[in-house]
Amino acid sequence: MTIVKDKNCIKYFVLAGVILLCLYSNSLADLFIPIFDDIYYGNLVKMFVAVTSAIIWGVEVGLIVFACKKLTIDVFTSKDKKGKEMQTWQVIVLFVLTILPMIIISACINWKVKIVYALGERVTMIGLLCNVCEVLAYAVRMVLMVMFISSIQKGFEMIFKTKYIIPYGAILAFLTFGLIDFFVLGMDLRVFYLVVSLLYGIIYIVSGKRFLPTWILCYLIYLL
Amino acid sequence: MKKFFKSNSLIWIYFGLAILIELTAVFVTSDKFYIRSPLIFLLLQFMILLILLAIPSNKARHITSSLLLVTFMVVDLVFIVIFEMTETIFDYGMFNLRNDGMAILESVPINFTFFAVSMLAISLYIVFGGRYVRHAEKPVTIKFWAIPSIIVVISGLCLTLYLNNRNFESDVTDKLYRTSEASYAEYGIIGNFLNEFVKGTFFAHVELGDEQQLEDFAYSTDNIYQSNFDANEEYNIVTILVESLEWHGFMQDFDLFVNGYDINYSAYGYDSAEQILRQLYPNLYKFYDSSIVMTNFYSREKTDISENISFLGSYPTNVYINYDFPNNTMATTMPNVLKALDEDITCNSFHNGSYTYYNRNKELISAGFDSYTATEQMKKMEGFTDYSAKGERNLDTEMIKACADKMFPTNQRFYTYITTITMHGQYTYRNNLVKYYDEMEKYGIRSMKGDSFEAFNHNNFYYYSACVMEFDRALGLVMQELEDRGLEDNTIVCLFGDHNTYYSSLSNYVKGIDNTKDSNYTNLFRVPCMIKTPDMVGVTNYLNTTLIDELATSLVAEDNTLDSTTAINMAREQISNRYIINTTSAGTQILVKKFMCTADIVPTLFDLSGINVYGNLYFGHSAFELTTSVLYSRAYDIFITDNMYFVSLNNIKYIRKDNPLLNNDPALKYADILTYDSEEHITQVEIEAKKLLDKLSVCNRIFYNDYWGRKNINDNTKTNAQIFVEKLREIN
Repeated sequence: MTIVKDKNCIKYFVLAGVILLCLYSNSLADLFIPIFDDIYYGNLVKMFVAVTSAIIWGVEVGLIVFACKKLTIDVFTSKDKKGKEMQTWQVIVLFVLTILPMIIISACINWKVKIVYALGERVTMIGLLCNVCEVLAYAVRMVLMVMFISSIQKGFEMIFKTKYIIPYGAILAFLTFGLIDFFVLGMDLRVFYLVVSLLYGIIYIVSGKRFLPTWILCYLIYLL
Repeated sequence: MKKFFKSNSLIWIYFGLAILIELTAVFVTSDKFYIRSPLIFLLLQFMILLILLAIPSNKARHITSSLLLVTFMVVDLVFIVIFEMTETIFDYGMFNLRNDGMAILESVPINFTFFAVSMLAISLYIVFGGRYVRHAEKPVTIKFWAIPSIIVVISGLCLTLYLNNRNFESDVTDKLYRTSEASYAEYGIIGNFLNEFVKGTFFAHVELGDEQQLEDFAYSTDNIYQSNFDANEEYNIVTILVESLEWHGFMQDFDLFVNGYDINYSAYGYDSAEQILRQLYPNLYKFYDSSIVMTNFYSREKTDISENISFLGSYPTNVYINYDFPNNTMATTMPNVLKALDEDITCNSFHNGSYTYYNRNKELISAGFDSYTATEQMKKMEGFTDYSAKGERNLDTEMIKACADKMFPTNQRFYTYITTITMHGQYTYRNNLVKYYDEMEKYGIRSMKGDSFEAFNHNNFYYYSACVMEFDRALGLVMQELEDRGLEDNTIVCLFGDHNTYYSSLSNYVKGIDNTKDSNYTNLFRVPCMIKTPDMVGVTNYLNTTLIDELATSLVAEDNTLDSTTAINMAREQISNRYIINTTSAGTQILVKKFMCTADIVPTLFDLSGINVYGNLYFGHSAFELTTSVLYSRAYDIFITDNMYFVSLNNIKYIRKDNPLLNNDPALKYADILTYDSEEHITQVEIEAKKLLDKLSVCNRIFYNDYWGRKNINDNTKTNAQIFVEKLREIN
């Protein structure tokens, strides 16, 4: 392994830091809860918070993309990979990495389908609507998570040149939002989310550092 | 030819995967990995194959076939969810239930096996199919043959659907001997959907036929249900449909309810678990101790059908009265019969659920009720809270308190029908039942911690028990109101469970019954029915004298070698085994061990009220008749007795083994089995089922053609309903 002093890596680390802050900026949506409380007996608060969060994240993604263009930071798929097909072994491994957690998590929740578990076992239509909005909002959050993984991976690869592929993005994802979500959010299945944060980074590597397939597969793992 | 098959391999793979997805869906719903009549499904797939073969581009084929696979998966998934929630296969009438079904999403029981298999198959097809398409050679298409072939296949499909449905319910007796499955293994899910859609849209009609023959059958004097008791026009009637009421909700019995109550009574200073349960359910036990208890009562319907049968006494096939015939004239319902004989009676219905659910707001008025009061009206009354907005069920006690004046008027005779809701599933923690959790805690009955399957099942039962306590208090309020208003001595009160607790398979868990291979399968559908009548003395006398004489007479008629003394002794033994009269601290209790079902409620109430009716218009029989009914379930298209569960006599899913006496069969506790022979039972069932199906055929003709609302063929100045009233008064 050789260590290269490349000041360009700083841009990626700063970007990763900004993205990490953005991941939890949706707390701003909580400021609007008193307004939402008056609507339909407060039953739609979760939905409004989810929609507001999605808007906040969406705006942040837009700003980040704009900033990346200006600063020539490439967090999406590299130009040399665009249009190129993944190799068969990549596809097979990605299949296994996606399907296996789905089976494991279903086994942990008495063989229920996780999306059904997440949407709620006993809900009114309003409750279902709120849960659906939360799940969809997470899709926007996932964009930020993959951008984080991508920028960390690229940043570290600029410094540490090695013939081996080290999943820096996966490790930092685990140590940052993986652990934060584990301790702070208090979700059901939080051990699952902790381990899966590592998996997101590995999927990114196996996919050949392609943004879109990584985002789709990571969101599918979260969803199903 | 080789090139044709090789270049179109994507389509053959699609075909294989479509079959795999469909068979998996059939497997998870019916435990069978085949489709008995696959023609509809296969013709549909052939049509799709031909369309795909006509598409020149591999990429377009791949996209189209992927979308089709996803569509089929979603369709199958929807019907699997419906099946898991309702345990019934789709029929056309369910389209009417779609809005009500979505009102509260109880759960979305997506089957993991189907989900995993189909998702894996489709994702592999999309990913690897996409890669194949990028490198595959241009396919050989069937351009010139496409349209003629598709036309031929569509014609075949239409012909198949026509042949399947052209004799729509023309002979319901066929149900007793059919060889088809009442499951998705018959046509598959997609095939069943198509078949039902076509049937419902184009064929769902029963011709009225010979009206004179119908009238003669309806008013046949060979089958008048004569009341065994004195007519009493002062009697009020209260019928309470208790949502999901089961015996195990308030009784402990290790033989019948293996995973039910297991109370450590001695730790609390009691001699038995029953003593504790009497503390928790005082009103249910008081009612049980002083009423006619149908210990061998069964229900296998959905709530709306149970409700209708319990005041109509019949139900047509393939439709939901509430949606398909909400404006029909229904002359033979309890409200309309009571009004025909007593113009001053008021008939009202109450339900602490949504006003428009099951379209009750329209149908109950057509059924003869003067009013229907639901949550939307009760919310405006003092003391009633609508908990449904918080995701909880409304309280039955609050309904009784809010509506007592209207339910039990003191200034006129009444027929009040109450449908409860607190015991409706799912069974989870509810804030409005906390006081009952505290009461159960006093006797060591508590929930189990953890996410294990055992905890899930235990807690289902625990939370259900609290719901039963709420109904117990509501029943107490009903009886107290009747007493306070001086109505207790002239009011018949009937309460019954509309179906077993199928939510989260609670009934299966408590009773330890998984499927038809279990030795007491029909016990799954045994639910309470109790009737408290002011005339217990009259009933007791009738059972001790008149009924014995009647039975002795029929025994002699069957075997004229019997002398009268032997016949009387035999009759007395049978009657005393079928009707057990006990004296309790609360009064007289009569246990009726004869097989009974929801259809028997109306004839029994008429019998106790002293009302004679035309028996061919009602499916069931009075509890005090010698004839035993057969239960035909409209919702599940299945026949049930206490010893059999069958699609037809050629497709018996369960039959009790011979010699229950030798097997210590728990059924002996509640059924009137002295001797039992399965072949003899089948013979008896066949006789009664045929009579039932004759009535069912007429019922179809009546409903599908709004017979009671039509002008009478012999007197066109009157409707058939008016003629019915005249005929009814003739025999009363």
